[in-house]
Amino acid sequence: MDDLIKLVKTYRVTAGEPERLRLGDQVFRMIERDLRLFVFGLVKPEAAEDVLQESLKDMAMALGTFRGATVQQFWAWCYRIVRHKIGDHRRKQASGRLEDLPHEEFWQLVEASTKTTPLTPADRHDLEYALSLLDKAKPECREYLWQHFVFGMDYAEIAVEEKITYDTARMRIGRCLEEAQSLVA
Amino acid sequence: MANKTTADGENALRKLGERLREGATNSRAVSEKSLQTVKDGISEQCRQDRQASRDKSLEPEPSKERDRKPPEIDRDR
Repeated sequence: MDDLIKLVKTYRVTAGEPERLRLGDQVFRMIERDLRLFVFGLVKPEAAEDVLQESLKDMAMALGTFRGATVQQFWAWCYRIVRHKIGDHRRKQASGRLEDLPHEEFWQLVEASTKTTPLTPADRHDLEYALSLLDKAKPECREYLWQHFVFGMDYAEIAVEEKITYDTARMRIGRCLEEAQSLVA
Repeated sequence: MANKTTADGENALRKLGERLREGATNSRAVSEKSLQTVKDGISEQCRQDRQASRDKSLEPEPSKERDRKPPEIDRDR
């Protein structure tokens, strides 16, 4: 992760196009898979690729203007751009409701993760439970749970994005989790 | 699924995130389409920056404009 922020900072002070293209390629090779996952968990598959590509283009064009100092700030910046694109996409749709989670695809990824980390029966049980929480949560809540717990966005980032206070974000997310748990129990 | 605490829920969701990211890293190549989009975006921004720089160099310098004295009025006339 240190490498990522070093590359981003180097990009910022680099002016030549060939060098920027080289650095940009390295940066996005490190983040594309996470961003893809983030989008595909919130947008229906047929639209998700377009939302992802539009987000990547905006990020690539603005990469030189990123002024943060840490990798956490960089991820927050990335997710902010993606969230805006998802918001734009939803406003264009007649229905803003979330689609069903792509369970099959998620389980394929879980299976792929076992190449490096074995999956115990307890792990599998936890993952099934996590997916059922996301399935049962109300659309707004699913987004909160997805962003905060699954993708590690902190309360402050979510509060800024939602134009709410830190405490409101914390309480809403806590309530969403409790609600989803009560529906699964 | 009964008797789960909030901490169990948090832990399960975090574990899901870790697993999905790890699985994506293990199984997916970075999309060539995405890399091309990034390349196009960077090139477009570089073009815009060059154009902005050219436009700026064509503008009269504000300091010179400010310092320029108005033509003197010939008071003897």
